Amino acid sequence: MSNNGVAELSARELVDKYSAMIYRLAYARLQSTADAEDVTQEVLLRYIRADKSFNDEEHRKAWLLKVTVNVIKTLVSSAHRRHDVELEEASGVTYEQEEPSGVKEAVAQLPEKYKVAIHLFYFEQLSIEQISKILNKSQGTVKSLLSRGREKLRELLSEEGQYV
Amino acid sequence: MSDKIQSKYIEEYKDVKPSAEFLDKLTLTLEQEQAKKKRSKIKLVRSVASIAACLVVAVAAGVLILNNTKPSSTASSSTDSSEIPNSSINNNVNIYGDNTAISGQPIKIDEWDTSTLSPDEYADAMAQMLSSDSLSYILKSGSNNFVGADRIGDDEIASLSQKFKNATLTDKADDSATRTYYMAVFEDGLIIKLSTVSDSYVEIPSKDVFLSVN
Repeated sequence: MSNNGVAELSARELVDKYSAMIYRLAYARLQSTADAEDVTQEVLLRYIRADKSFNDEEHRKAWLLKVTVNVIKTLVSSAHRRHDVELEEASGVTYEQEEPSGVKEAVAQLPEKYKVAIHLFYFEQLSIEQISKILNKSQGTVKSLLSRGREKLRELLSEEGQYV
Repeated sequence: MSDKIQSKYIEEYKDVKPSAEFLDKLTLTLEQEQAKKKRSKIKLVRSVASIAACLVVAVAAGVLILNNTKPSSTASSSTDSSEIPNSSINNNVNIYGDNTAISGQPIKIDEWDTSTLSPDEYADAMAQMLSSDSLSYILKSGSNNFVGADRIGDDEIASLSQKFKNATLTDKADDSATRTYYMAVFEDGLIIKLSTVSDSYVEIPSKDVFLSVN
């Protein structure tokens, strides 16, 4: 890797520094350990293959998060995953939504479109501007996603009587 | 989401992390990928170096070939008109007989096709050719091998062309007379060698034609 602004990272350093961040974002959206592992590996492989230059660590982190979002989208829209979902639906087995036992579970029960924005804002503590660049959406859209997501989260947690 | 919810979310998500076994496998995979990338970079550098080396060799070979075929060497071996008997007029003679180069410029030497001309028409034909746009340049030398020859200017070309306009066929000049040699190079690759004797005669050695310009 030829990263002009920041130090070149060995495979071990790359894993130590960024694997958890990627894994958590993937898990927050996909709610699957196996999928989160697949996404983590794919993102870090893309990082090595891209041989990209970064100005600083923030730049590198933002690039990795953006690629993570893209890989998640690809996985969600993949034929294999769609097939799995169709099989689950065809089995006729329905699982009743459990009451969330914590904030993590409550976020997991949010509609898909809010999960990534909520995670990036509250766990990675990114600004609305940073999130808008990563999601490739306007800042207004991001604000709206966060506002509605937070409202829904409050509803979920109030049902449980927690944190409200 | 209140700060309390946010701090709870962060606390809960800190426990979400990939397994140690997965991380070990991942590290190994990434190390292999990095090694593969490094190898392909080395291959690329080697390929570029090989191409550069080939280019250098090709250029050097080209320079050597051009130097070995420049007219100074071939001209010296060309036929001296004084050795050709007048009776052996031969149309379509190539004065050098092969492709050559002058001052690094590759030139295809074609024959001056005089098959439709009689020897007494050579002078007029030559006058027209020397004043035409197809003439690239004319070299002038004191010897017929043209070593150190200079290009002549437009005035001298016009003067030479003028000599042909009024020229008539004549007998061969005295071999011992001082000659000035000219090599006319045309854009289509044709090269015609001429010589003048005391500004009174013009000789076209390849055609074995001798002209009086008086």
